[in-house]
Amino acid sequence: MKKYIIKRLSSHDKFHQTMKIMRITSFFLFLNVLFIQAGTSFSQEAKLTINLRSTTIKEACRQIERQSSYIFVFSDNIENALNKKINIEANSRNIKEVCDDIFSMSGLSYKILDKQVVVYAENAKNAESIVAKTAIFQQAQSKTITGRIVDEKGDPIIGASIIEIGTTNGTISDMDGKFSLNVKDDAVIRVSYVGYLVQEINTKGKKNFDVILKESPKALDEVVVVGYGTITKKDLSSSVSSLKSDQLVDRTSAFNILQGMAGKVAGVQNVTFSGKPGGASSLRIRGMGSINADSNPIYVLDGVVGVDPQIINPENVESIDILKDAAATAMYGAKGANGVVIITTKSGKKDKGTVVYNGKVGVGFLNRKLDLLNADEFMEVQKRAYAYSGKIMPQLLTPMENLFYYSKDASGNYLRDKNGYLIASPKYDTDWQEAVTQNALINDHNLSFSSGNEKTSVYANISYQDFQGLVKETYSKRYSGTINVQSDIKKWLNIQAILTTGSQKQNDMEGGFGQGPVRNMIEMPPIVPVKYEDGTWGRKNDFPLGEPAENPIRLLQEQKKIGDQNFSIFNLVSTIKFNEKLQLTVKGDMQTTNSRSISYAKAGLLDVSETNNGYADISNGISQKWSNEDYFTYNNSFFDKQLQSNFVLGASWYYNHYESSSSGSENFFDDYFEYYNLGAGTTFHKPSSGMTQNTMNSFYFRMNHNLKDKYLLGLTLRMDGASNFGENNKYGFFPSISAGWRISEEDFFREAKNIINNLKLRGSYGEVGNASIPNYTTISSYYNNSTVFNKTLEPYVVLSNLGNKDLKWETSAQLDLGLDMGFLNNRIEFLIDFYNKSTKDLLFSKQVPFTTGYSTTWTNLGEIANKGFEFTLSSKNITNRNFNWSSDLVFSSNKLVVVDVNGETIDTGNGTIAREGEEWASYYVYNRLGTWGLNEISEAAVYGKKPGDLKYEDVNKDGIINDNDKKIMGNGLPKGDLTFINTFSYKGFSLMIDLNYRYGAKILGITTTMMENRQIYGNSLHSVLDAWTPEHQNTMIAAIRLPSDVNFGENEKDSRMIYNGDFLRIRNIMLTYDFSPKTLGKINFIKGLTLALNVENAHVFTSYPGFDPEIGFLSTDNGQGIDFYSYPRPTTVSTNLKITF
Amino acid sequence: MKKYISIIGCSFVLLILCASCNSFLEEEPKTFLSPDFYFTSEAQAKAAVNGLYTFLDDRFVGTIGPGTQTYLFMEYLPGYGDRPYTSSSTDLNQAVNLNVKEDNLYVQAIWETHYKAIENCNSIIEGMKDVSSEIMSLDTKNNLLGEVYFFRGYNYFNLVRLFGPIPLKLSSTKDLSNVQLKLSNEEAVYSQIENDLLTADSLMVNNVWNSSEGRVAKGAVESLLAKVYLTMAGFPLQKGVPYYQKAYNYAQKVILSNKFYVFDSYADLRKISNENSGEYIWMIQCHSQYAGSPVHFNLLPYPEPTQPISSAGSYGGALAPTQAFYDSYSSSDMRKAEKGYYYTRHETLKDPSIIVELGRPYIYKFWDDDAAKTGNSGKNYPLLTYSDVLLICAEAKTEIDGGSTSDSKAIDAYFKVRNRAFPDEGKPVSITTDDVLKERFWEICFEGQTWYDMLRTRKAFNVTTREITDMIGYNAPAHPEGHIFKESDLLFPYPLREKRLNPNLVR
Repeated sequence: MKKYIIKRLSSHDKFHQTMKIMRITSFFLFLNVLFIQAGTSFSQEAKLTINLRSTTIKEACRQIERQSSYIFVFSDNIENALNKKINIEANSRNIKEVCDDIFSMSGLSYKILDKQVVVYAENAKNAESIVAKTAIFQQAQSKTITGRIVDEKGDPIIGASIIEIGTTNGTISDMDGKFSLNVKDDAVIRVSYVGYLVQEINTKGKKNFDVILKESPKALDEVVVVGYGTITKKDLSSSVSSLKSDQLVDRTSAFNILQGMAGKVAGVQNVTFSGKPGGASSLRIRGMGSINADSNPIYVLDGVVGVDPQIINPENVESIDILKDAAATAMYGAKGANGVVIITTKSGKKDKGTVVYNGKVGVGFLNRKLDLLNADEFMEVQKRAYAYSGKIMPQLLTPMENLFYYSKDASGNYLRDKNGYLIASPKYDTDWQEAVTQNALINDHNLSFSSGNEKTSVYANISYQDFQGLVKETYSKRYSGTINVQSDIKKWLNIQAILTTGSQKQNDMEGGFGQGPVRNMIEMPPIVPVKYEDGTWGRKNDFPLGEPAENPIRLLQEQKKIGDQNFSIFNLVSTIKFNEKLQLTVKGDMQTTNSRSISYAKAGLLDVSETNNGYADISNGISQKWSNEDYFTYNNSFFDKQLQSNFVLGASWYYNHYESSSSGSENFFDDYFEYYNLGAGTTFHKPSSGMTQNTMNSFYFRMNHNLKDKYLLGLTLRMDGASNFGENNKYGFFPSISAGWRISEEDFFREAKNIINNLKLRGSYGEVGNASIPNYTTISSYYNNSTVFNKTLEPYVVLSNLGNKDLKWETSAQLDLGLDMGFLNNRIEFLIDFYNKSTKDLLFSKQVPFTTGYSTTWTNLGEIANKGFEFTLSSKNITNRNFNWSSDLVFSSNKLVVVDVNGETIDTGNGTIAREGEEWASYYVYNRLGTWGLNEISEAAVYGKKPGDLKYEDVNKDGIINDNDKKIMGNGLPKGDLTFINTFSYKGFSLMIDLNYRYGAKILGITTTMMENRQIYGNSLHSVLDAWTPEHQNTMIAAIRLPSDVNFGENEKDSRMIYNGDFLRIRNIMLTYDFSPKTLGKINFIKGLTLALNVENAHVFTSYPGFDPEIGFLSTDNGQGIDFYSYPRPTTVSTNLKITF
Repeated sequence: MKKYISIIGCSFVLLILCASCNSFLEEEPKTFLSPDFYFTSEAQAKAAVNGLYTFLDDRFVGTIGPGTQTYLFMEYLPGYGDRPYTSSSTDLNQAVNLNVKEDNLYVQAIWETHYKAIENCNSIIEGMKDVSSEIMSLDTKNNLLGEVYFFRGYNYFNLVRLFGPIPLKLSSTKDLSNVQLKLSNEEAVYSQIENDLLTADSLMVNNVWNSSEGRVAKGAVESLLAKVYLTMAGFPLQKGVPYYQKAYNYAQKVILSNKFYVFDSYADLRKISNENSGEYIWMIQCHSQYAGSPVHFNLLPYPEPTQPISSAGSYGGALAPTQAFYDSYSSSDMRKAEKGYYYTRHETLKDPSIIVELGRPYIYKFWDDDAAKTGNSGKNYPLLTYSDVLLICAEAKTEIDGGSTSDSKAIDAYFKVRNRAFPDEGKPVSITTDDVLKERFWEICFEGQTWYDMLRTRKAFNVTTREITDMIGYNAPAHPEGHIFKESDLLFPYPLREKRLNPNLVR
């Protein structure tokens, strides 16, 4: 490599000098490539041929560098002039002639020194000195050091600058990241590269250095993908958060990107409904933007709008950009109301080729058990129930040899106590939680290939995930592959083709209330064994009064609920460059998904397949989507480069088509066939099929302006038409505006800039739409099927939907104010945002009186508002050569308030309501005061209650407990969510601790409460022993009675069910060791090797007695915080190995 | 070159911009028909009328768990049958304990089903108005319309009996304006029911009396008319003798049609081959595979006998006669005889020679032999029976004649029912209202009729004295001790959901 030594230097120029050299480095990168590709050198007298139109001076210089061995170095403060556009035509001319052409009229001057062309401002007062300071010269020193510079992954960093501190002596790393430099004996060198943390190394006594540069997160020149283009972070005036690939894959149980993103972005909540493998989760960006229409954000994968996020392998993701405010999401118009998640996948790198294996193997286990009764305690509860009713337990009257040991005399006669009852003790004490759960193995293997040259690059990945569930027999598996090819086919044409394909499969036995294994696991009486000695399965109702329910393990083994899916996404993007300013992007994509759900049970499962001799149902769905997007991008600058502007104008077409069919049969003469041969059944289920399709058409315009690098302005307009709206309201119009002020770039701020290097104030306002309602709601419809007349099927229709032709867009208007700050050269970064998002004309399936003949109709109703506050703080607390400590703090709070629902009380399901001024889906329940005491017989009688019954608060004191006595008692949405990640690294070791604190949500613990008041039907929580007795009257739990003695149902949702949902979770602990290239030494075909040990969901601190305080029901927003036999969440320990070749 | 690209680019953009947007955004559903474009063929009209029958099945829909269907809810209210297997459903227990609250989901479901059926009736009546004779013959149209008017009358009849004053809605919903309907008083509702049934009767003038298909025919229309008049004569309208006379007349018309007869034995009631004929004027149509009936299984013994007597034996225990009601039958009553209406022992499924004792009486009336073997029941469930009509005839005449009658037609009608239960007993010379009412309690038990009979007569059957007694103040055997019938128990509260959506629902 070339070595340069500065002739003369003045210390205060040191910094500027460094910057200049760094600027040059990028040119060197190109040069290097060129040299290697061409393998030729150029004589000083080389003739240049250049023909460029409307290109910047800088680019012209770059062209010359490519053609010759000349290097351009630029003095300070000429950036604007260098961006000036010129036309140049030169045929076989020498360097001086060409330079004269380029710099004439540019306000710039130049001087050729050897192979350097020093460029400086024409009117500079002191040209000689500037040239001298700017030019780079080589100087002999006392020793030569060599080394190699790599990034954390072990990839070489090309063009990193190595400077001897205190001098401007320096060099740049080559294609392999190698460098060599002559320095003084005790020199300290500084190694730096754009986007990486600077390192200083003392060279004393050493000659060889392997330097690992760590990425400096969130640099200001980082590029943010905003949809239909990119923008540098500093120019951003809207609210966008970004995540990089590394942040997505550190979570072991992250089967998909949603789980990987949890807690990492302010304002983005990962709503987890279940701990099952593959999870049931979704993202909510700045709260719930809609109440009945879909609240999911839209996912855009490499420009493909509307991708299922569950199928995206986190390993393939390069970055995720989350558009949060209306100014950012308006570009997606009607699809943007709930935020936009833009996913950019990895593409091939232009290097010699990389192969990466990244694999995880782990095991998950149940870390929190419910405190259930054991066999003796269970019998104690039974005893109390029978005693209350003055009855005798049946096993004391008739021997039940299968469940109890009986005292017998020598001749085998049953012994009886003094009352004449049998003497029995339970035979079994089964821990059903132990029996039903397993240590869940996790396998996740990825192999990626990347390579590229100047014109074409390729990335390919193949992966396999197999996640076992905590509950036996449950699993999630996925095989997938992706290939991403980019190529400059012509000078004016670039294409990118991405194909992702794969299949996934899961056995989902969650089940909920019915015959769900989780419910049965909790409720199975401990006195019943998994299997009796004769091999028959134990059932819940083997004990008198037990509810009829099948053995959960048998259910898991003999019943299947499989969902599988084959998916593929193909995306072809072509970019046509008309000139340097104008380009057209034409994009086409297809998404096809074939999904299948299978429900199968062997014969004889109680309440499942007992009466039909086994059944099998298969339903198939075929989803086809295509879209076409065409847009122009125009970049230009005006007013002498003071104003940089970017324009986008385009149109899109979207088409979605879905067809389904199902068939099934029962009464199999043999279980052998499972669901593979439906014809083997003798009773056939009615076949069915269906079709639904919708279309959307959009036009959009965006412009972004940057004035003097200080004042930013953005404007977006989008018009969307959707087929699922009424004739009169097909199209909606969505405008937004944003502005930013980079205060730190102002002259008056110069003094403070050493401390606060970045200060930007942002503001935006815009309107975005939501069209996510079912198709055909504007059309009145009949439901049709067939019914029986004298054992013969006949067709019928009944009214099903009252079409609302006036249905229109739901619109959300959002105001956002934000502040970005960077301290000490971004060592501390601080981002804060306030927003107020109000959604009007809510698409709502509104209840109507049944007298209309309908239950609900789709309508535009009222208004809700999400108000929130979010901040992100990243700090590099300690950075030195061996030890680094950084902290990241992400906080979001959001409040969703019902502003207007026509003054009505809206039933949001599961005991929740919405009422104006209250929070959405508030728990609306009775207030349980305790139990009626023996001294309150007459008061209790007013309500038809007896001592030992539950006492509810009679709020309106009318002597009746009814709906009017319910109260609003919190809701399931958290008020705030805080993630605190600390990363410590020492040499190759790195330790990350991820803590998550959430507060303000209340849990409606239906499970836990049912486990206290249905004592006879199955097993109960340990707390039931606190139930009312004449001796223990001050309690919240009713007397334990036989069902026949519970006169009035006491299964109402009440305050006893409401739990504090605050928790602190040690979400992730990860210990990583990166083998340095030096350690790997001779195994030089391995470029990088990383080993990690990861503990996920290590511990939860909570007062909630259920499995997990982060819970949801029915995967709906209104079900957040409702615990209804939810699938427990595992603690997962895993190891990770990553090898880069 | 650049020009070339520009031309390609621009023409491409022009092409996409010119694509017709409107047709691109049109919806074309293929899986359903819209009422906006309907009644264009006879098959369509028939399918719409068929739809009305599907609302009858809703009484076989329940909440969570076995034995929670709506038809059972209606059986707990009178208090003669109890529930051996206690349900964990609060809503169901409100019927068991006669403590029905406004948020009761069964009450809401009954309201919902009936009004949805009525909306379909209104929509069909409007849609068929303009159907020309080219599409279907006038006879066909009238017959179909007759079914529709019958259904509207039938649904309002149930609603007015259960809720009293209700919104009367006679045209279909076009949009969401004016959905908060006002209450109509009982007089107005009954008058509409009468109109609808008379219209149905006149439209069906050429129709057959019964339908082997299980459709509504003239027999069902006139039987229901008899029942409606009997009810109008009693509570709450108390229109008295003229209406008893109308009830008597219509019952007589059904009897004189000679299309119906009581089966010789109670075993014949259970024969699938007897469905939609003989004693069965109108039934809910079931099918073991496509439209299963839960009745057989719901009524199985609980706890399940150690040796099963039927397939799917663990779903039983939802309804059984109280011992007191069972004991109220005379020991010589054939209905009480083993495998008449009840049973206390049964052969096991595996070996018919082994008999298991059940420890208490259970209902055998709806036993389905096929279901016992296969686990699926397709047995129809009666809605209107000939014995009901016979007893209406007898009861109406006793009322007309001032409490007892010696009218031979009335006595013949009564005796046809009585004689099957007591073959050795001679025909009485005269009968009293109480005789007929008692017979109703014993004969038409557990068929969803008893509660309505009690509401219109305000009488209960005292199982201890075996006498008819005032309903208010009586403590039925299945209800909690001391829990007597009160005025407030007579009508269901308006469903809470409906009250929230329509503030006019205040009684």
